[in-house]
Amino acid sequence: MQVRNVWTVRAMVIVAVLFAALMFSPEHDARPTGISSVDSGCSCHSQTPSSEVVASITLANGSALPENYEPGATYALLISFSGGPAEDNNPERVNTGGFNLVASKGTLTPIDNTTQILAGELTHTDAGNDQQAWNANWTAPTSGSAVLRLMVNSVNGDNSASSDDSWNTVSYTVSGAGGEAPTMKANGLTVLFSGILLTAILFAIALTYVFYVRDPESFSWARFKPWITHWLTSTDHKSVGTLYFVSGLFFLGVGGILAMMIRIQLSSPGNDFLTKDEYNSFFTLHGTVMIFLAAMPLINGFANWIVPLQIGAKDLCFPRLNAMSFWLQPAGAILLLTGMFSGMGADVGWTGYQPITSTTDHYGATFWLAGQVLLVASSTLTGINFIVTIATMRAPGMGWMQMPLFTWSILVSVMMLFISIPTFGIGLIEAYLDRTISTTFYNTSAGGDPLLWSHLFWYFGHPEVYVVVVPAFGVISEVIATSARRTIFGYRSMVYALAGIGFVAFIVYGHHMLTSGMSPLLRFVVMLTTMLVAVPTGIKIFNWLKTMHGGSLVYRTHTLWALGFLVTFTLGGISGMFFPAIAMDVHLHETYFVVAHFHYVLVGGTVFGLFAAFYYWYPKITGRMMSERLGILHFLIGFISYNGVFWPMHKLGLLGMTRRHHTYYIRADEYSDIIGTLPPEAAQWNFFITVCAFMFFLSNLIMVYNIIASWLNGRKAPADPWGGWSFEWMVSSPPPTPSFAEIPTLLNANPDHAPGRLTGMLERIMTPDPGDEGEEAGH
Amino acid sequence: MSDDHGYHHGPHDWSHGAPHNSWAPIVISIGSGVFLFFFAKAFTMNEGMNGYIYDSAPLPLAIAGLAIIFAGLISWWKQDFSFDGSYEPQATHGSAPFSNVDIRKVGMWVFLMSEMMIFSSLFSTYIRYRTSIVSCYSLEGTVVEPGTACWLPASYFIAKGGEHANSTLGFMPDALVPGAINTFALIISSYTIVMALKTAKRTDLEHAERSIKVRNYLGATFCLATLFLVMKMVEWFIGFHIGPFEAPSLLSDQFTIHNDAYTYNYGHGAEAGAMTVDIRMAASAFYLTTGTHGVHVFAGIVGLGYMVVKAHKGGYGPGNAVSIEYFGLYWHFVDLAWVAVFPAFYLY
Amino acid sequence: MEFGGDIFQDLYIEFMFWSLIVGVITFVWMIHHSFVYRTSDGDLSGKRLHLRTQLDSLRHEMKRAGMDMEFEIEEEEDERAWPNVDNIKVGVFPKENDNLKLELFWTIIPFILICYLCWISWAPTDAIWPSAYELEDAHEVGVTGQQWFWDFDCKGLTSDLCDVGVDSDTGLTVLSLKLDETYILNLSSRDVLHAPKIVQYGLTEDAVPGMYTTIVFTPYETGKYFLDCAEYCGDDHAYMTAIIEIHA
Repeated sequence: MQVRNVWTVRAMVIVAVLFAALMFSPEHDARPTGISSVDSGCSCHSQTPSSEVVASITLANGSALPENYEPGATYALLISFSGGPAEDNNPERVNTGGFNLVASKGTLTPIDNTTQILAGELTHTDAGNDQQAWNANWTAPTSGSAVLRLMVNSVNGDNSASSDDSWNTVSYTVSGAGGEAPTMKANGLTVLFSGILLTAILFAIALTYVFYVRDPESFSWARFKPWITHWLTSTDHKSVGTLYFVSGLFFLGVGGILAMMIRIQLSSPGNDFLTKDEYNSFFTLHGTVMIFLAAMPLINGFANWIVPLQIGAKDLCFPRLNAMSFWLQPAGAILLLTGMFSGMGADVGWTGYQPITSTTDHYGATFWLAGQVLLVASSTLTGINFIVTIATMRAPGMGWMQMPLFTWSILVSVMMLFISIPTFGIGLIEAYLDRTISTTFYNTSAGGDPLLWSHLFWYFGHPEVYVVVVPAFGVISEVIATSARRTIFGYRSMVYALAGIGFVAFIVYGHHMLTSGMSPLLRFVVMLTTMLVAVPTGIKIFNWLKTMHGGSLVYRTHTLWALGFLVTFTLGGISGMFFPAIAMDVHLHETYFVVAHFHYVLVGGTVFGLFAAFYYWYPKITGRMMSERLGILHFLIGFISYNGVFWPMHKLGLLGMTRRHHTYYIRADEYSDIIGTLPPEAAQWNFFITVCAFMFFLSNLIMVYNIIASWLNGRKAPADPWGGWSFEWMVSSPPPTPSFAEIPTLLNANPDHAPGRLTGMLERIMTPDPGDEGEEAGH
Repeated sequence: MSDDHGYHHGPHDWSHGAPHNSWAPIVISIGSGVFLFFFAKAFTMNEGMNGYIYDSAPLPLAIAGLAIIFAGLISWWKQDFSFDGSYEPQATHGSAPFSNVDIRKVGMWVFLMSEMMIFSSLFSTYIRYRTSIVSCYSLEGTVVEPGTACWLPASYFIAKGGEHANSTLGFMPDALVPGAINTFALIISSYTIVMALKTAKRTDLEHAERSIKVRNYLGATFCLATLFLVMKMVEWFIGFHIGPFEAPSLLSDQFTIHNDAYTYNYGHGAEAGAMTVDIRMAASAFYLTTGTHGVHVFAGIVGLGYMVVKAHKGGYGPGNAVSIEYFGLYWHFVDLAWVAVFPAFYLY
Repeated sequence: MEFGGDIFQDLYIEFMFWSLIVGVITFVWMIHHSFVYRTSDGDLSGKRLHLRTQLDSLRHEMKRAGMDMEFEIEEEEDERAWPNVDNIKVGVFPKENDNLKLELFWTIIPFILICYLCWISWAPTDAIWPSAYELEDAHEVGVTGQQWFWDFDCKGLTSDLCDVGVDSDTGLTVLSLKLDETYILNLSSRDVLHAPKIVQYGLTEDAVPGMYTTIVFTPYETGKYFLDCAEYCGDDHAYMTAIIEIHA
């Protein structure tokens, strides 16, 4: 009891410290501006830059600006220009010129009525519109380099903007007393690299600490070498599963850090925390890392651990291939992330549309493609392994219709995966060859078709998202049934629904290409089939709800996450129904409505399912019970902050905020006759989303902490802590190796459960006849 | 951890199941990553995106990657060498409809399903482009702007012999001879692998004699497969200049993935004409598809190398003849893929 | 005008209505069952769990002390402890729990709803992409995307119907179109994928290099609207904006 209280207190302290650390998140330069381009110029009145116009800033007495300023001193500036149409002799001239001066540090102050401060920038007034020189004051800061950027207009005087007006710009840097001081702006790449390095170091420390604590006396190289060799070479499904968990959780953190970078950038309009290159590569890698290096490995981790236990097998059927499936992932990960820290990471979106993927100058894109080829190989091998294992290594008494639903979900998921992913592999190889030996698969000048990539990608991409969500379905089936102490309702229809989803997934991928010039007939077919996918999914949701009926629901953390899943996945599914109505898709396509939808089904679906799985199977895997208090804390903070992040995105999408834009602008008053910029509430929602995103990120650290602390100090777990029926609950926690000394036989509480007719017929076809002349001998 | 033998490479005692530890997975993964990384560093696209910049420095490292893959494979084989069929996993009794079927056989068939997907994706690309890019033949006689993309199929250079059309045999151009040899080589190799299987299963021979026969059949398959790859290189790069046969290689015929200005001459006499066309797409599709098939043949050759050595050491008998059967399944698939690739790319 | 344009709004309201119904049914059902079928008795199993854990430790201690006693507790299935209506036991495939009528019900009703939703979406889809004979009076305007700006081509239309200019306030390119006239925007690209999106009207289509796609646009409200780029196209994707001005 003592131990538990101390750990709870420590947990609270750590969470509080982490929240406080939020205060020190890097400062960024927020510049809410109007609708014009921040980088390339001011809201000037003319469009034509001209080198005839010469802008300059000097001191009022005519001498040049000092190289170093006196901290806090005030300088009288003379802002002027020469050249351009202002100097043509136009007797009907009404105005002459204007300017806009921005000082990155220090304060600008008007001293007469010819200048004014507008939105933090010094510019001319109406009265000061007819001259070529203005006076103003600049008060130097106390430290740091100050950049004074001046833009001037030289106009032809007809009081209307036209291409006969010219503009030019000039920039001066005045340094602090010690010369150039380093800028205080946080560099997005540096923050990212530091974040990931910190995570990796903490990880390594945690692992080393665990190893040390288990047995301090023999903490030596002689003991370490066989331990690390075991982990590098083991083919046992339990070890490989653990490797998947470790790698998956690490990359979940990396993907989360990338997401935090994105959210900081989007927290205010016109932000420049990340450059456009950095932002573009961060959202690419966020998607790729989360799907391929976090979600799929974590699912694989559970598949590796639990499926052989559930079907009563000692291991998978091809253990070395299984280990290779795992090791191809870190190899692929290193390739994927190449170039990220030098600003040349792949910047093509996780969808990698052509022709930009074949033509981007970021060399990271080539390695991104290569890394994914390795991941394709990994997934294909995983597919083969699991399909054959589930088909051929089940315990006696376990027919197809007696398998636990988690195993069914892995089977359907893996079948979808290994059929669809080779197509993606070919697309990747074509793009990789385009970028290396310059084949022309996606090169339009040689007749290439960018939409070929879209087809090859989405033929894989759509089944892929079902691949990651279907195992979550399996987990939820297990968790709800066990928590409610009931049989899952409608087992057969759950299986048929899974199979139905698995099949329909392949014919609806066109809904990602509805705005790419599709023929009307195909549009209708895609619309109908996509909407129909809701039918099997709905069946599953209703079956889960009906399972609770008449049960005795006990609230543990995994139960909470399962119920949370029901909420968020239903919401995600409902929001998904808006897209196949193509008249709505044209508005919602590529907006934050899409982002909200897929995060609701991917995070609210897959990730919540994985959280439930962690809390559910952790005692079995590690032999320890997790802290329920920390689990409930994780759920409360996580669930609420998660909805705070993604629910407002629906609204932002409806307002028209486009995705994959590294920044956005809100309606500023003087441009209010232009409808379509985002209203000011969009900036407020974005900021709110960013705050909630940080809370969600930190809440997941509670779970990581819980995992580690419970592993060291948790109560010992019995074989069946929750009251489940499947085989994994028969073996001890953790299971020995081999898991089953003797393969158990599955009993059946239902009287009539003979194998179906189809199975019987296939069996007769495939079983060799006895008494052949030894053709099939060799068994 | 409790079942740790402490010896992770080298002959494995198969009587109690598959190896629990192996260096092969991590080594092969590292090798694959190294290879793809340095291959990408050696070949990068140029500014105009119509050619590549070749930097020879990373190439040895890419080859080192291949060597690492091979080292991992050797580690795998060392464990497999002692496999004599005493442990042949079979589906459990609960696993209808697969009960009593060898698990490795099911695995090979499932693997072939994914291979089907690879080849069908390649064919998708081919069909997509072949049907949408205008054929160069149909442009004959019209005014064509230089650099127009049109589809000049590989069959123009091979089955028709292009501008050379040397035909020593009379009924087919010389350029088709390597392809014909390849087709027969693969078909005969499918036969020899089946013979190897049948021989390995024979119980009426002494083990030593049977091993020699099996080794010979496997060796014949190996040689035929190697002949296939050699003929492919002849066809692509060297040119078939043996005896009276004169067929230039595809490279010297300028059927390359970078050729955006191929001078296509057509017709005779009064109807003769020429146009400068961009044939890169046909070339890309051809080399990728036949190249992928060639990589599969190469993988088979590597596997056959192992099997020949193992057969030589007397490793195959009725107990584990099925191992040859599983390879045979893969080999038949490769043959079948060729039966699809050859007409589509070489003849049509 | 509301976001997305009129066609979007009509469909949106209808879909929101049905979404609310489905959502309310699902969530009320879930919340009801979460409360009504909860039990704290299951936590008795937590206490039993705790007892068993202590028993395990005791066993462990005894083994370490060299005492070779095997013992087991006889567990009485206490009905009050955690009701087990389906008699769930480890290693036994549980008794089936299904109801064909119910399952058919919630297969067929959603199916009907979906067919209905599909049916009401059909006409708006045709409104977005009208068929050829409805476009006889349409005017063709070329829109070409290039990294990172839009190029408009009025193709010889009078300047009242179509005009290209520069916006004085923002410096963006302006395409001026006339109210209630039907325009066919022929989209293409000179380099990578782009997608012009007239945000307020809720219209978009990909501009694919090497082919032409179309947006059919009949403006029904005057004003200045944004044209954003809605397909990632590289560095300045966020800045690739133009203005569509509709005048009477």
